[in-house]
Amino acid sequence: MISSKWIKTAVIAAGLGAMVAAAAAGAASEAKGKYYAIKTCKPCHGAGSPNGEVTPLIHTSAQWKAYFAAGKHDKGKEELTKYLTKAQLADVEAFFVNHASDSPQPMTCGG
Amino acid sequence: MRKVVLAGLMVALLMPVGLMAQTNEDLMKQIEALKQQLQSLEAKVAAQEKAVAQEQAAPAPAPALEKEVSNLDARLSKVEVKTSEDRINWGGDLRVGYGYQNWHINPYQQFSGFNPQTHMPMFQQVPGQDWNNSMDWSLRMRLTMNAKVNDNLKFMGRLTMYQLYGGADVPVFNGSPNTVLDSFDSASVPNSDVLHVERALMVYHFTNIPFSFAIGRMNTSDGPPLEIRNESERDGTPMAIMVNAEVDGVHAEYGLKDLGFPDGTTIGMCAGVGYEAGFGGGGQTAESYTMTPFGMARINGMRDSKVIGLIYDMPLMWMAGNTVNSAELILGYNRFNDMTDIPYGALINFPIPGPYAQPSPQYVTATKNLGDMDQYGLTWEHHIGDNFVYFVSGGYIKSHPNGQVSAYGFGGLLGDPNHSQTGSAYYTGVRWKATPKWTLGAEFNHGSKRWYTFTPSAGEESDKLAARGDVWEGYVHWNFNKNVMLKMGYIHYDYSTAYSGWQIAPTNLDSLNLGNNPQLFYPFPKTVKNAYVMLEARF
Repeated sequence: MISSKWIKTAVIAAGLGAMVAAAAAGAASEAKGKYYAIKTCKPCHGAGSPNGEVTPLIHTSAQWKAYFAAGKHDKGKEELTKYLTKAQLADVEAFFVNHASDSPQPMTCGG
Repeated sequence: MRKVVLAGLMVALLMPVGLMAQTNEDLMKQIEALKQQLQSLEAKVAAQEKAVAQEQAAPAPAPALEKEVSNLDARLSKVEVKTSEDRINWGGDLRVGYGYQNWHINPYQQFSGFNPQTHMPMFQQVPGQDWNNSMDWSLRMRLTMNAKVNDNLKFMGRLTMYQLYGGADVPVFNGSPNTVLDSFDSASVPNSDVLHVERALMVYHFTNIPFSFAIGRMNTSDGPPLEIRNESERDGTPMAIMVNAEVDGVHAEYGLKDLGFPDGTTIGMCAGVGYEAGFGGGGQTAESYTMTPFGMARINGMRDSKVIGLIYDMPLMWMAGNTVNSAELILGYNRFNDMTDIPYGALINFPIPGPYAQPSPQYVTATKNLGDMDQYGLTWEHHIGDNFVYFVSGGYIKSHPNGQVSAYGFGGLLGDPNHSQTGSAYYTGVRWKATPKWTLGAEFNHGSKRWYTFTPSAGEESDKLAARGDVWEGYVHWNFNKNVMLKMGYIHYDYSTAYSGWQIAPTNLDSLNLGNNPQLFYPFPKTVKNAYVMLEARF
C-alpha cells in the first residue's frame, strides 16, 4: 500500500519536472552561448586582436538583438551561419544580450 | 580614259580567281564586325540616355522628408552632446525588506560589576528568554557608477543608503560586531538616510601586459559565493568567508593565461589598513613627543593594524555531453598584523539599561594591539547548465597573540592572549532555477567554537558567516518581471559559543558554551530565527 505521503511527493516531483521541462523547451542557453562565444568568436576577436575585441560589453542589449537579427558577419560580407548554427547563434545571442553594456556587471578589484 | 578602265579590267581578269574570292569574304566579315560594334555602341548610348532621362525625371525630395531628416539630425546631435558630457554611467538597485526575528537566549550569568570588598567579579543568574521583533522594515538604495577615464584607467564606485523604517532612532547595535557602525560597514549597518561611499576605486589596466592595479575603497564586500544567494553577478574580489568589508587599500592582479593557465586565471595581491594609530603608529613620534596640556598628538602606544593578502582565481569551462559546465576555483590567504580589540566606530543607539536611560550613540575605539592572525580560504563554485549551481567554501585561522588584553576587559585574541589558537568554518549551498521565474536555494554553514572572520559588511542583524555554530537557510526568489524579484527566505542560527564575530573574548572560549550557563558581559542568543521578504529592483 503506497502512503499518501509518497503520492504527494511524487505529484510534487512530477509538477516540478514538468515546470523544468517547460522552461527548458526551446529556450536559448546562456551557458552554451558563453561556451560558443569563447570557442568560436574569441580566437579571432580576443583582447588586442586586429579584428577588434568582441565581448558582450561592446554593445547594448538592443544593439545585440539587432545584430543577431541581421545575422551578418565581417561588416555584412558573410552570414553568421558560416560559423555557428542558428540554434548556437540563439545561445550566443542570449549570452551577449544578458551581459551587454546596459546589464549589471561583475564588480571586482580587477575591474 | 576608256583605255585605263580596260587596262584595269585586264589586270583584274589576270588575277587568280581564288584570291579574289578570299578578299571579298574578308571585307564582308569586317563589315559585319563593324555593324556589330555599331549596334553595341548604339545600345550603350541608348542606355546612357535612358539613365540620364530617368535621373532627370526623378522627383525631388519631398519637403516633409527633408524636414524629418533635419529634425533627426538635430535630435541626434543633442544625444551625442549629452553622451559626451555624461562622465559617469549610473546603475543601481532598490530593496525593501520585511523581517521577523526571534532570539532565544539560554540561561546565563550576567556580569554585574565587582565586589567592592573583594574586587572579584559578580554575576547575576538570568533565566532563559525569548525576544521577538515581529516587524522589521528596511530600505536599501545602492547607486553604482563607473567612468572610463582613458583607455587604461577606469573609475568604479557605489553609494549606498540603508536604514530601518522608523527613522534613525532605531536601536541597531545588538552585540554583534557587524552592528557597530564604522568605516568598514557604513553601507551595511542600517543607520540613516545618508548616502555612504561604499566603494570608490581606480583600476589601471596596463596595455601590453595582463596586469592591473587598483587603489581606493575597494570592491571587497559581498564577494563569492554570495552572488549565488543574491542571484547576481560577482560583487567582490575576496571570498565572503574571509573578508566582507569596505576596505581602503590597493590590489594588483596578474593574468596567468600566457603561462599556460586557463583563460581568465589571475593571481592577485592586496593590502589594506585596519586601524590607523595616528602619530602613535611607528612609535617614533611618541618617543620624542613632549606632553603639553593642549597637545594634538594622539599618543596611545598603539601600532597601525594592517592586512596583506593573496588570491588565486581560476575559472574553468567545459562541455559534458550536451551540458555546459563552468566553475570557479578561488584560493586565498590573508595576514592580519597588529589586530586591535575594538574597531573605532559608533554603536547606533546603544541600549543603555534602566527605565529612564536615553539610548544614544556610543563611540568606541581600539585600546590595544592584540597580535596577528593567519587566515586561509578556499571556494569552489560549479554551474551545471543554465539552472543549477552548487558551491563549497571553507576557512581556517590561526592566531598569534602578543600577550596583550583589551582595556575594556574583553581579553585577548580568541580568548587566549598567550597561546596560538585555531578555528575553522565551512559554507555550502545549492541554487536551482526551477523555471525562468522561480529560483530555489538552500545553504548551510558551520563555524567552530573559535572561528573568526572579518565580515562586518554582512548587512544582516546577525552575521551568518561569522557564526560559531550551525546556520541553515532556505530561500525562494520570484522573478516576476525583468530585473525585479521578490525574495523570501528563512535563516535559522544555532550558536554553540558566545562572542561570534569577535576576535576577542574575556575568557577562554571553551568556557563560553551557550548551553552551559556561561558567564557573559551581555546576552548572546542560543538560536535566532529570521524570516524575511524582500522586494528588489535592479536598474
